[in-house]
Amino acid sequence: MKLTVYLGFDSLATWLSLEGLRQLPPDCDLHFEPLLSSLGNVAGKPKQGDPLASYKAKRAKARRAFWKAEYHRICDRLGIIPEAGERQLAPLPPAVGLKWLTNQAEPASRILDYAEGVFTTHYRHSEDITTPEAVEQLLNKAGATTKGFNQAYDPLATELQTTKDDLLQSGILSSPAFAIEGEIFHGRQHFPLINWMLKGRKGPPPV
Amino acid sequence: MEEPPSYHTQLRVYIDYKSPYAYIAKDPTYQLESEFGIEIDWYPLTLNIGSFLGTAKKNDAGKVVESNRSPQQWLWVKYAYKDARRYAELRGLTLKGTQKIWDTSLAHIGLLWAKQQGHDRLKRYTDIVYERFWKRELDLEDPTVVAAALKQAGADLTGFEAYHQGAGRRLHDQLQDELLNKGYYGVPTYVIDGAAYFGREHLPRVRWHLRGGTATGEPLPDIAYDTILS
Repeated sequence: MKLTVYLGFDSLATWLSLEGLRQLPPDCDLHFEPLLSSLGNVAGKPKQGDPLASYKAKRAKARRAFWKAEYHRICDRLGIIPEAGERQLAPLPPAVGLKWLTNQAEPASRILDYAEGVFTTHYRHSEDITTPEAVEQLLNKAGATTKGFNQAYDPLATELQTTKDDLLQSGILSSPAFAIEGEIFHGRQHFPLINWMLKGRKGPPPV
Repeated sequence: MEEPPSYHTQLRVYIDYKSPYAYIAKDPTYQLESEFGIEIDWYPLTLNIGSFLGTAKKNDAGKVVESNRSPQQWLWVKYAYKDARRYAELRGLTLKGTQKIWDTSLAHIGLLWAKQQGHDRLKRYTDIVYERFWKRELDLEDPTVVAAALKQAGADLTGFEAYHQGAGRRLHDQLQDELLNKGYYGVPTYVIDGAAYFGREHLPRVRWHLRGGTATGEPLPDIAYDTILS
């Protein structure tokens, strides 16, 4: 059964999803696509004279407090300090590396090793991964072929930037996202159900 | 303020009857009670959905007749309903999209009333309201409909009319202010051992707390929709 996985590198949730991806049934037909856009917080900001301004401000504050606590839990799980997790990761260069891997039809295990390498290098070792050379090094580390990567870098980057909003419009709203049997799932919390589908829908479903 | 009665449990759960995510979280959350021999302390959290997802109205044919939602809000709302519905359908539950954004405060005052009359009545009331509301069979803004649901749940209605217009309304409104100030902004929210978790994907963590938390020596689990209903 085919499962397409959409990964954006500007999200710690993507990093956390790699463990679940490695635990999928080995015979599943796994495809990867880089994701550069995400929907983000859709609430918007209150306008002047908005009668709900006070409610919105309180809710926004509550939301920030929850996400701060959740962010700390995520950092704990990843074994990084919160300050390290705050380092912005420019998503385009590693996305180009991912696109290269999928174009080369590299196996899923190598793609996951590459993604793990991206996150570890950036967040654990604080090393620069924003140049084509740095991405090539990460591809090499994962054991991928890189012959021609330098020449392919710019066209791939242009292609990804041109098509990034198309994915959003097609319903891929955030990373990680999964497409299986015509259904789209957002978030690693769906792994139990995705596994259940991949294993032939046997027994009661996890809900 | 006057607090509704507590059941002396460690776990508080906040719900809103108009949230499809809270609806599909109900049974996996109930299962914690049988699994751990606890009684969950339930509270209403009345969302103002329009403030963060915009508002829209649909006619009986499902056509949008009024909307102030941004395209981004529509993308999210459509996904959220699809997501909730697929999990509902796996369990044979009906989850019809709502045609407007409901004011569930009255039904939540009903929750507070049912809660005063015991845990089983509260759960029966919640079951009735959720099931019928998501079949579009219940007008949650009509006091006679809410009273009928309470009666069907076995609740004594003596004084309910005065309660929903007076003390119950005040209690509900005060509670909503307090909840936002405490940092609870969505449903279902689980509060246990001083931690607040928003969404049923956190049930593995709630179970971890109920097993003993850090004393178990296990790390806090990751999020997952992993409940197998018995």
